[in-house]
Order: sequence, then structure tokens, then C-alpha cells
Amino acid sequence: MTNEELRIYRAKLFRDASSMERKPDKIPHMSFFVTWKILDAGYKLSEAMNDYDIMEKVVRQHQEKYGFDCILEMGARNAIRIPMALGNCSYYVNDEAGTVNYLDKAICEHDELREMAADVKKFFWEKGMARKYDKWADKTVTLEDMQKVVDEQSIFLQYMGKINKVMQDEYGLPPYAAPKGYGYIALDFMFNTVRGIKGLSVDMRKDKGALKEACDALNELFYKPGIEALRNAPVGPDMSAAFDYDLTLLCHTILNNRQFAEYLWPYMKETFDVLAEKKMTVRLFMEGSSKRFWEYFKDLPKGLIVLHPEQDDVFEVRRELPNVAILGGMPVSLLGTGTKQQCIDRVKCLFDELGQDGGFMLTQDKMVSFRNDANPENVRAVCDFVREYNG
Amino acid sequence: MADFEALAQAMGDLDEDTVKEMLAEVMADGGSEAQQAMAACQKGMDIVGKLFEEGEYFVGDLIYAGELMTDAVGILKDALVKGGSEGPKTKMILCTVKDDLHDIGKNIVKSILEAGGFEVLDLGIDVPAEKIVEEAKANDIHIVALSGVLTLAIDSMKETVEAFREAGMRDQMKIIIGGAPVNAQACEYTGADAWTTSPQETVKICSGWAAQMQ
Repeated sequence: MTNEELRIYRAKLFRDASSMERKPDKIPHMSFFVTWKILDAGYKLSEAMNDYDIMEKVVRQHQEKYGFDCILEMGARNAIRIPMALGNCSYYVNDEAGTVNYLDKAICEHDELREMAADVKKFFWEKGMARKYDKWADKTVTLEDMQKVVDEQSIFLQYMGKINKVMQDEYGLPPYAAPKGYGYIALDFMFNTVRGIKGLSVDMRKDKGALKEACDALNELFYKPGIEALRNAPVGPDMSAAFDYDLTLLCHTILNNRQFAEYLWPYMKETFDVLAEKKMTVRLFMEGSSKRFWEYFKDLPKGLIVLHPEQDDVFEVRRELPNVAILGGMPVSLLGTGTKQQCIDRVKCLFDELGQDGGFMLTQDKMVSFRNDANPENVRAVCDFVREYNG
Repeated sequence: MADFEALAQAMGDLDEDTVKEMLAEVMADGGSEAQQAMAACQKGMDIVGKLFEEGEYFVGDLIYAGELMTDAVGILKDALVKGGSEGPKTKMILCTVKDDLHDIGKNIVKSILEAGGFEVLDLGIDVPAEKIVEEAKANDIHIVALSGVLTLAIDSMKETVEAFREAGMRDQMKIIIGGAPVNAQACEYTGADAWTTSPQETVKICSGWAAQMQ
């Protein structure tokens, strides 16, 4: 096969598996390796994160060494150069330990929610940025600094364009999600960026009216344009990519069931309804466990959701949600501390029990981030076995 | 006399306004009933824990409960200090292990452990194994709770258990690990005595150990 043919073939593997209408020619294998692949390639985290040529080498090497059918993360995560153009960022990179930690910091206080809701952009410009960047706070930021941020953003986008093209043209890998295939619901933005975990926990109890106003304002800015673009998209899946849409959620990890129903589910449901109308698929990754919310997914049309469970048992997902395709199944804990044979046995069991009738795609249960998360020999053994067993 | 049942229920309901109004009433005479009010707040935290176990409350509610409990202690503090304590509490160490900077889970557990009657020596985040051993030795502590969110925390937990072994203290220690990546396999791998992902379960396990040690 040419690389072009291989790319189309691999995309079809994901499409067939996720549609649940036909068994794919073989079970596709996706990489969910993130910062681990930098360390595995012999670089320090800070080297690769600050140099896109090195990051390109890392992604190339990852594919050359293991041969996945799709790579979910191609060096875009933890794009530290953009915020660093303003002098500091929320990521803490520790090269000695091989770790990246993220500072959970509120850029808006509880008492300011209504002020932010009144004019989000003004609030971010005048207060939010100052809480995120020292230069903004002490008013030493210059026009040159701002130009540098724009330049860095542009360099990053060029890198993303290039690495996607390289992986498609030279390695026959389909892109993971179709262009514009990402959703951002306000509550998750509040959780990740605006209020932090503790702040949002307080907001949901203290002044629900203010929280609602803030979420409505943020949804106007971040969620609605996305859903409108989706509504205006042509009907039918984008067969060049593994999936049409990605919905990655974190904030549900603190929500009780009533809060989920009130704040998050209406937006998820709206997104799912539009995607179903367009006959598209969505990869749904809900950090931690999503089991509490499976009841909501039971009536959704078959072939709409590809659930990527982080902590839940994939066999239980299949039993409870026969309308949902599964992406996942390979525990990072096994890749890190298990033997080669244990890893291979796990893959065989997954393929035999979940892959016989389609609806299953193999990947790691968690983002593979740290050096000891996975033993490279185990990863190679799994990849070799997948190719051999898949035929 | 204040209605301490109502105070406990208000705390359990996470009704901040009522809790703070009632505590203000308790403090109006200088806090002669501060001890009873504190006990009622602790009882309220038990209600919170029960609702968490039943699936009514979730992590955000525990975070809020921790904040409310901290405020309650702040309001009653002066009177509690004057009135003296109820007797010696079991001391224990709590921290997030080396290379992991997450503190929210740890802080939830801390507030619930304190409400459950423990004196918690909170060593903070990113704490190396040697420091934990050193503090346990210096403060004659025999119960240690290790928290972590990142998968790499499992290795740091293992290092900590081994550090206690190397220091010849392992037999005198009870070590519990907790957090998102923790499970039975991680417990076996690290050599810890117990594992959990539930703050309430942490209190139960540690209380059992404390009872055995007395």
C-alpha cells in the first residue's frame, strides 16, 4: 500500500469499528502516549517542549518504533512556548523527575463572577491576564511581548500543520479528529482555567445564579460558535479522520449527579443530538470514571459515541452500553509494571471478547505521561502482538 | 442553649448561612458552648461522608465541606483554645508524595480526618520519602496516609514504604495510600497496608489502626 492508501485504510478501520455496523478488517490500535514518548526518545521534556524540530523527531520516532494506526497526541499538549512569551506559565516542568505539573489557579474570584459574565473579554484583559502573568500584573508587558505571543501561536500552528501532514504523507496515519472537531463546554473551562477545582466547588454551592450567568457568558464565547459550526457542517462523517469530534471532559470529576444533570448534561446532549443528526461519531473521554452517567448514554443511537474509559472496566461498558463503541482497554499500570506476557494476554483477551463483532479499538486507558508509566519493551511487545494477532 | 442537632444537620446539608449564623450565636457569650458546637460540626461532617458514600454528594461537595469546616473552626477557635481540648488525639502524617503537586484530594482527606478526631501533621505536597520517615520518627507517629493523583505517585509511594523498611520502622507503621491512580494492584506493588479512593474510608481504616495501637 502507498502511504495515501494506508492512511485511508487506517481511517476506515476506525470508522468501521466506531460505526458498529460492520467488523473492521482488523482492530485498530491508537497511541495515547503523551509526554512519555519524549522521554522514550531520549530527550528531556523541556528540550522537546521548547523545540518543535525535536518534537517532530519524537513523534516520528514514536511511530517508527511502535507502528500505531493513529496517534492521538502529536506534541500539542503542554504548549509552553506560547504563555512563556509573556514570561511565565502554569506548567511546572521537572526534567530530573520527568514530570509536568499544572498549577490550578483561579483567575476570577467568586465575587467577580457577575462582573466576568457582564463582559468576559474585558474581564480577562483587565483582571484574568494579570492573575496568570506576572508581567501583566506589574504592568511591564510591552507590545513586543504581545507580538511574541502572536508569533509563538503562529509557530505552534505551523508545527501542528506540519506534523499532521508529515504523519499523513510519510507514515500513512489519519488525523485523530476532523478539523473543528473539538467541543468546549463552559463548565469545563471554568474548572480548568477560570475558577479551578476548589473555586468551582464553592461556586456550585454558594451562588448558583452567579455561576449560571458566568457559564452562559462563556458558552456564548466558546461553546456556541462550535455547535453552530457543527450545525452548519454537511451531513455525513469526515472519512479522512479517525473520528469526527472529540469531547474531553474533566469537570464531572467533582460534580454530584444533580449538578451534572443541571450544568453539564444539557450541553453534552445538545452536542450529541447535532452529531447524531449529522451521522458523525464522537470520541468521549471523561477523566476518571464515567460510570455514574452511563444511564444518560443508554438511549443514544448506536455508532454515535466512542467511549474511552479511563478508570472503568471496558467489559462492563460493553455489557451495560451495547450501543457504544469502545476505545481503550490497555491499562497503563500493566504496561508499566506487568510482564510482556501479561500485556499480551490482556490484548488477546480484549480482542477475543470485545473485538469479535466490531465496536472496539485498542488504546491505553490513561494518557501515558511519565517514564515509569510504561516499559518500552512491553509497548513493543503489545504492538508486535497486535499486528501478528490481527493478521 | 443552641440547637446542636440543627447545627449538625445544617453542616450535613452544607448550608453555609445557617451554620455561620448558629456559630455566631454560640460565640455571642464568648463561646461557652464552643466544644458542643465543634462536636456538632464534626457530626455534620459524618453526615457529609455518609451522603458521599451513598452517591448523593461528590468530590466538589467534599471540597466545599472542607472549606466550611475550616471556617467553622476559625469562628470557634478562640473559645476552643480557652476551653481546652477533649484529650489527646491520635497523631498521623498526611502528604502528597514526591513529584506530585496535587493537594485538593489531600486537603479533603485532611478535613475529614480532623473531623474524625485525628491530629494531622500535613507535610504538604511533593514530599520525599526521607522527609516522611524523618517526621514520623521525630513526632513518634505510626500512621501515614500517602496521597497522589499522577500515575508516577505510585512509585513515590513504593519508595516511601521502602524508606520506612530501610529505617527499620516498617513493622511499627501503618501506611495507607489514596488517590486517583490507586487500586489493589498499586497497594500490592507499593507494599502499603491499605488503599482507598474514599476519604470516609480513610478515616475508618485509620480509626481501626488507632484503636489497635492504644
